[in-house]
Amino acid sequence: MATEQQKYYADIKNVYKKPEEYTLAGKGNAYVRIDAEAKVTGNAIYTDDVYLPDTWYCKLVHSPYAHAIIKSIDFTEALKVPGVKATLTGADFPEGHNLGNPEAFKELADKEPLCRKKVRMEGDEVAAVCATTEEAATEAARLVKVEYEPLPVILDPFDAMKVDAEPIHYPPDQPGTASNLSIFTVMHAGDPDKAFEEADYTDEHYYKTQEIVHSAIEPHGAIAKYENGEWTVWTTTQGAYVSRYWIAWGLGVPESRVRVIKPMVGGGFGGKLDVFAHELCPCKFSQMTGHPVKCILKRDEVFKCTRTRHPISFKIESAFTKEGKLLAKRCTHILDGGAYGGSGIAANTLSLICATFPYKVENIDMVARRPYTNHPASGAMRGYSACQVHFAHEIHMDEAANDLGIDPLELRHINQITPYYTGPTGLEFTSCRFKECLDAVADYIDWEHRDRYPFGSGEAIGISGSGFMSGTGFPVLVTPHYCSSATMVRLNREGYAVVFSGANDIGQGCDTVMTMIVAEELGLNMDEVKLIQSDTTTTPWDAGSFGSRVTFLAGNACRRAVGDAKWKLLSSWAEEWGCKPQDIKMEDHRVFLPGDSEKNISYNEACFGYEEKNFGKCVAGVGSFCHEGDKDIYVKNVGNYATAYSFSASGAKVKVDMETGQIELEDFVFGHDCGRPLNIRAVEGQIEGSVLLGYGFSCYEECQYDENGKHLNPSFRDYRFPTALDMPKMKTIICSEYDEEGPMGAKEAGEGSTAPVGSAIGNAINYATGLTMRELPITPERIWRALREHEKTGKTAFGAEDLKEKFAAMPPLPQRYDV
Amino acid sequence: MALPEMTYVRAKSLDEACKYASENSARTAVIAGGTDVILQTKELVLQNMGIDTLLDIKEIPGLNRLDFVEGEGLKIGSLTKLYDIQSSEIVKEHIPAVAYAAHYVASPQVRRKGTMAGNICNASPSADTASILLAMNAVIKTHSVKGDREIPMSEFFQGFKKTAIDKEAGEIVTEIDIPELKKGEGSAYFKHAIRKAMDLAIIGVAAWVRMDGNKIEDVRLAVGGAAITPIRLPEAEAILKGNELSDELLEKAGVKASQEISPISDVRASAEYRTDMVRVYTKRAVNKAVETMR
Repeated sequence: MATEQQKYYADIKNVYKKPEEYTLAGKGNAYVRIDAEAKVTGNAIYTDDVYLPDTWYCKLVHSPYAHAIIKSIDFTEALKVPGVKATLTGADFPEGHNLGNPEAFKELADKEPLCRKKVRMEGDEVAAVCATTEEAATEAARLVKVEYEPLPVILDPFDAMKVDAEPIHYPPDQPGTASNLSIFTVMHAGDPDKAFEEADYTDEHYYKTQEIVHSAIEPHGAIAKYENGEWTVWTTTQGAYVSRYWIAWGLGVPESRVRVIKPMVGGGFGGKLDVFAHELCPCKFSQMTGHPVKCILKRDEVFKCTRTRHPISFKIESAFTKEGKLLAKRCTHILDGGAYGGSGIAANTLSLICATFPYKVENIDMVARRPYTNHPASGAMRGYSACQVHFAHEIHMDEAANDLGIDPLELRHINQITPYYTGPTGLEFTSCRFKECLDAVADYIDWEHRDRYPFGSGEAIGISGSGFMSGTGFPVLVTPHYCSSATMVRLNREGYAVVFSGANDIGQGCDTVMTMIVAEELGLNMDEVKLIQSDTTTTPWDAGSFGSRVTFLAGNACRRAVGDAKWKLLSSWAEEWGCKPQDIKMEDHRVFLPGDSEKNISYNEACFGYEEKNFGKCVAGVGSFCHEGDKDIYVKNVGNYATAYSFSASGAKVKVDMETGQIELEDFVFGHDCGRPLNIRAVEGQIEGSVLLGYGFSCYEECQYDENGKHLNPSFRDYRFPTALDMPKMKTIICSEYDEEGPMGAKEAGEGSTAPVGSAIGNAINYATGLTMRELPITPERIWRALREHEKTGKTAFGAEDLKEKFAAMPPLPQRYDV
Repeated sequence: MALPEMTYVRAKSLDEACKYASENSARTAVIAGGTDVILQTKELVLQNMGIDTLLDIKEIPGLNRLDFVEGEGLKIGSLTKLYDIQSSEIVKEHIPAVAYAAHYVASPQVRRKGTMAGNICNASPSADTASILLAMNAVIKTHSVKGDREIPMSEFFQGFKKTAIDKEAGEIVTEIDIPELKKGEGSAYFKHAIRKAMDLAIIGVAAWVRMDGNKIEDVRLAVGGAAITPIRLPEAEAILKGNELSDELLEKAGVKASQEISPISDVRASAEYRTDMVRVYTKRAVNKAVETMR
């Protein structure tokens, strides 16, 4: 709990509406999205819809090799294309100004805006051309001749860690230790060795997940203009301020000279958190030519050059009493980091934090390594690390339950996190309805009678549980008091209010929620609150849309901003009316003292009166939200990571065609503890989207590569996420409980909801087939292969067979100097 | 990005189209619904083959029929949309497997533009309507500067993405004729794919049967996605022909079917999986054809 700032903001809490007074928050269909009309009519302005006069176009030149030295770059032929105006190489950007993500870990930033000497993945950007038309730029980019000297390509993260492996970035500084480590993370608590010795039951299992991509329908892109020595960049970002920081750094100019505007964004899912060549190159070209310059990626560029979800290899050991109490867990996670770090360096810590969720386990010994490989760079993706971790650990939970002879639902209940539990490394849980989520799901799916589907009959149900941070406390940039978000609200005497929200709506609907919070507190209609979208010049600081933080952190900042304005307005009228500010209500455009008809004025009159008293100064409020943490959670892996935690459970009913391996997901139920839902339709939408993502992750999607690291399926034809027709019947059950610190009691619904989907489906498939599938994706062909092998050899567990040997052969970690 | 520049010619009559296509055969692609051709233009596939002209036949009158002629069969014009075929009561009543095959192609948006003639002229090895047309012994009617011609479906595919269409003569498909199902005859098509829409088949199997009681008097099997073109499965047919229908017989035919194909491994599936799926779906297609026979 962020107690210090609660004291700081204690006054304004007095004038907040009480839950029983809400007319909008959590009221089902009480309001619609503020961008509904613009989006439904096609009038919404996305980055590619930003047209400026005399815009020119930028195209990037990509490496066909996954690992190579750049020998030379020749623009001769490209420059002959009519309309070509300028070219760029890595040498045009300041050396050493690499792109990364957290400012506090700037030394780990490793991505050059354009590669200078070396390419590390297929699609790495080596040059750029600018032309008057997109066609000319495309043609010219094709004609840029780059000479390469190929290097050995490393695709397996275990190969990358070998002592004698080719260094992708730099050789290890301690000889004899693992090569190519981008980052490694250790988390330890209690006495796991003793617990393992004393346990009645111990096990050791291996699991593996694959590389997938976000598949946001809007491709990445940017348009930049240069005027009066300042860049303005409209870009597909999940965090305007963080993008601004890295764009300025990449250009080598102060942040005061860069303005980043986030227009509508057509989905991000974590793939739009980093800063890329397609943002830096238009900036540079606009400065060189004086023209606005646009660069929109094609789908194959999005696949290869943006970000992917980390594939993870797992070794999991657990220790239980025979009654089912989880005593200890040891695990090692090997995350394939791909070619670069960026937002990907948070993946290790997140994977370890999630590895204990949603259970109490006091003794842990956990390590995560993130080696570089020549795959595309892995990064944040919705349910960051949690989707992979909960797949492995929740399949493992059923394996352990079955070995122990305890009902998997019961085993989860025995170990479930309860309200206000503090974990062994200092995670502070507050509200928690995990038990209720599990029970609701088990009830819907009729877990009690799961025997009606005999083991291996081709039909079964499966369940799974998870937890997630509701509001990552980490603000990415270095901020005063670790502040994550700030908001300003201005009240207008003409009967409306304006909210300047830094929160980055990328389609999830936070602009609507911020508008609703202001309208609710002021007693205005939704359309009387005007929202200014994220823009580093007009809106205050916000860290971005990630870590399921927006509703909780920006929502709190927004409520404090409107609360601050409301406190000022009502304090002024309280003085006038001889009462306390908290006695005055704001409802339905009226400001009034209940029970006193004399003291009842319109919103307009109230604002007018305030300005009259204050020499025309308008009513304005400022609010912020801080997590009150520090970067120790990443460096030492102790302390509290988030302001609150959400919990989920899910249940799946599957039917497997035992001849073809075809999977039919017939029913899916999701129980989510998101605190008080502020926008019920949006929560349901998030959860249904999560089921789509989780189903795709578990049974459909996988980026495939040949032995040279060439991407084999960079298109929506060959990279197959499920379509609407593939989706199951879905039931959402909101197991809500008012969270003490959440804005109007809310927690998150964006990312946590993705985490338990794959494992519920996986567990159901395992019971249906009578096998244990330990590697994703569980495709029809993989099931078919496993069923046939089982018939021939009796083998029952499939996938990740190579890992035991690979884990055993891993070189040691280097010694840590900093802890 | 807009489409790359191409010359666009819209023909008003069949003769005009054939004449133009014949005179410019090397550099012209015929376009009806355009759902394959436009994609190939965007990806410069056509341009790299030296094609710079699209000949649009959509305005040519008389090519969009969809009729059933008693004693003959279904007549599907080359401009008739896949969606119309899929949703046609006539098709569903007389040869439901054809409607079913049409519904498998891509997405509703594509099927509202794309045609069955385009689906087979594109000659993808896994084209959804190709197998059922092969199994049904359909006839492809064409027109060119040399006059009218009828190409039996069994001769239509000549190689990977190659058809019997005589480009130099400006030959254009005008109609697909599918013989009617008589008493005791039935047909079926199954597509095996990962997604239920917007997906290419891993394999697809079509079957046509003529039953005499429980005896299979005659049978035709066709498979897509298992060779460089959609093909018939003569050896599997021979096992079934003249024999009493039974699970054992079907299994034998399925195994034989899986032996007379030569599928590839790609991002969609391994050759091994395709091979076994042909075994499975051969059985299922024959069963369904028998279940739904007239």
